Amino acid sequence: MSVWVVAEHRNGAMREVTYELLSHGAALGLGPVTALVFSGPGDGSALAASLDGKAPRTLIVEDSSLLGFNGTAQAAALATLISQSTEPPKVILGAHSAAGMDWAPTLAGKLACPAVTDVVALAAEGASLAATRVVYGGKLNSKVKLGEGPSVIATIRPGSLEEEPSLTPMTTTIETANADIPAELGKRFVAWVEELAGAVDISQADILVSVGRGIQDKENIDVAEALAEALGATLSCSRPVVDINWLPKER
Amino acid sequence: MKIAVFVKHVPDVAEADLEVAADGRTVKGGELPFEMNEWDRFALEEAVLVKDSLGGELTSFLIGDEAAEESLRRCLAVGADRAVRVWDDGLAGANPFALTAAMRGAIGEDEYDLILCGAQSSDDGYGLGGPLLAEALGVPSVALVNKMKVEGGKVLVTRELEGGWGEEVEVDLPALVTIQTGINEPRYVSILGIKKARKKPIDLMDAVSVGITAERLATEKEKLSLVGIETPAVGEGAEILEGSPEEVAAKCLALLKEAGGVL
Repeated sequence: MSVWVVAEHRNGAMREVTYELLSHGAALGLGPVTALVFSGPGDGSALAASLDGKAPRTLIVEDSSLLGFNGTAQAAALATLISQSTEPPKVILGAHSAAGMDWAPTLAGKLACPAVTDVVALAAEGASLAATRVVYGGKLNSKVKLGEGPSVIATIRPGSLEEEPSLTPMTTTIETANADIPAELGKRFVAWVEELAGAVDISQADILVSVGRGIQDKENIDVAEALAEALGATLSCSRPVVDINWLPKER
Repeated sequence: MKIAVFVKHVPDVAEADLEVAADGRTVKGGELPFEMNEWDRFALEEAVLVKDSLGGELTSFLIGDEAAEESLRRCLAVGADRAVRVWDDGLAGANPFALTAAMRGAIGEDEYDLILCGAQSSDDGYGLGGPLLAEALGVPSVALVNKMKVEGGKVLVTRELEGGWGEEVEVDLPALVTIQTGINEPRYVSILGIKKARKKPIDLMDAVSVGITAERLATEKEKLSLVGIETPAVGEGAEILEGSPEEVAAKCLALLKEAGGVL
C-alpha cells in the first residue's frame, strides 16, 4: 500500500498546505508517502527541492499543459500514472483549496472512485477511510465512510492539523515520470492574477478575528479591526461580508 | 446557445440552532425553511445573463422532491425556458455520486454548450457534483469561477484562489463551469413573478426515465456513506462576558492576560 500526496504550489512557490498533507499522509499508516509535483517544463526540480527530506519519494511530472495550474491536465496525468502503476496508491491526498476543488472531483470522475472533500480529520478504517467533515455552515460535524477503491481520494481543509506538521527527516528519492497528457484538453491556463497587492493569506494566520453577518453594519468592522490589531491578529470574515463589499475577498 | 443550470433546494441554516435527530444521521428539519442553495442563485443569474447577451435557450434542472419545486419556479421566474425535476425515493439523502448519476441521466442525449452549477452546496459542501458531471459528459470543467465571458466558442474565466490571487483560464465549449458567490448580483424575484411561473410546466423524470437502475444507485452510494452527524464539542470554558462594552473589554483584557498574554 502507499499514499500519494499532490503537492500544491503557486507561481513557483510551494504552498504550506503541502507539508500539512505530507504529515497527514504519514499519519494514515497506509504505507510510504510519495509527493507528486506537477509543473510546467523545467520548473519541477526547484519545487521538488523544497520537499527534500520530507517524503521518501518525490515524483516530478512536467508538461506544457501543467504550466501554472490546470486541474484538468493534472487529473488526466494522475489517472494515467495510477493506471500505469503496478500497485496503485490506496489514497490520493490533496488540499481542499481552489486547486483541489478543481482537480480532485475531476479525477474522481475519471477513476469512478470514492472521494471525499473538505476533510478535517482522516483515519484508516477497515479496508478504507473514515473522514470527519464540518457541515451546515460549521454547525454540525459529520462522519463519513469511503468505499474501498482500489484507490480513494481525500482533500483536506488547510490548517486542520492539530499541531505543526512534524516530519521525520528522511532521504528523498526524486524521480520523474511521463504521464502522456492528451494534447487537447479543451482547457488552458492563461495567467495568474494578483488581484490585491500585498494580500494576506488568512489560512496562514495564527490568530484570526473574524466577522460575519452579525457585524450588522460596515462601520462596526472598525471595532473588530481594532481588536485584531490589539491582539496581533489578522482580520477575517465570512463570505456574506465579502459579497456586500465590506471587506476584500482575501479576508 | 443551449444553456443548462443545476440548482439544489437546501435548508437555510444561517439563523438556526441545529439539532441532530434521534437516528443520529439527519437534522431535525421540521421547522427549517428551505431555499435555493446560495451558490446556485449566482449560477442561475449568470446563466440568465449569458442567455440575455447571446440569446438561446436555458433549461433548469433540479434533483429533489415536490417541495423542492419552489427553486425551479424561481428559475422559471427569472428567465429559464424549461424546468426539469428528477426524483426517486432512492435519491433521498443521496451522496454526490448518486446525485451526479441522476444529473447525467436528466441531460440524456441533449447537448448543451454551457452547463452552470454552484461551486458547492451550503448543506454538505462537497463541491463534487459539477466536475463529476463534466467527466460523465466528457466535457472540460472549471471550478470556483468568479468572473466569466463567453466568446467565440470559448469561455474565458477567472477562478478565485486563496490569498487575494486569481487565475485566468480559457475553456472550449461545450464546458461546465462551477460558480463562486459574488460573481454577479442575483436579481430580486417578486412573489408575483414566482406566482406567474406556477403556470409554466415542470417536466418530471424518475429513476427509470433518467436510466438509473437500483444496482447503479447502490454502487454510487457505496462510494461515500454517512456514518452519523453530531453537534461539535462545545469549546472548553466557553464563557459569555456581560456588561457594558467597557466592562466587557476590561474583562476580556484580564482574561487574555491571565491566559498567557498575547498583549
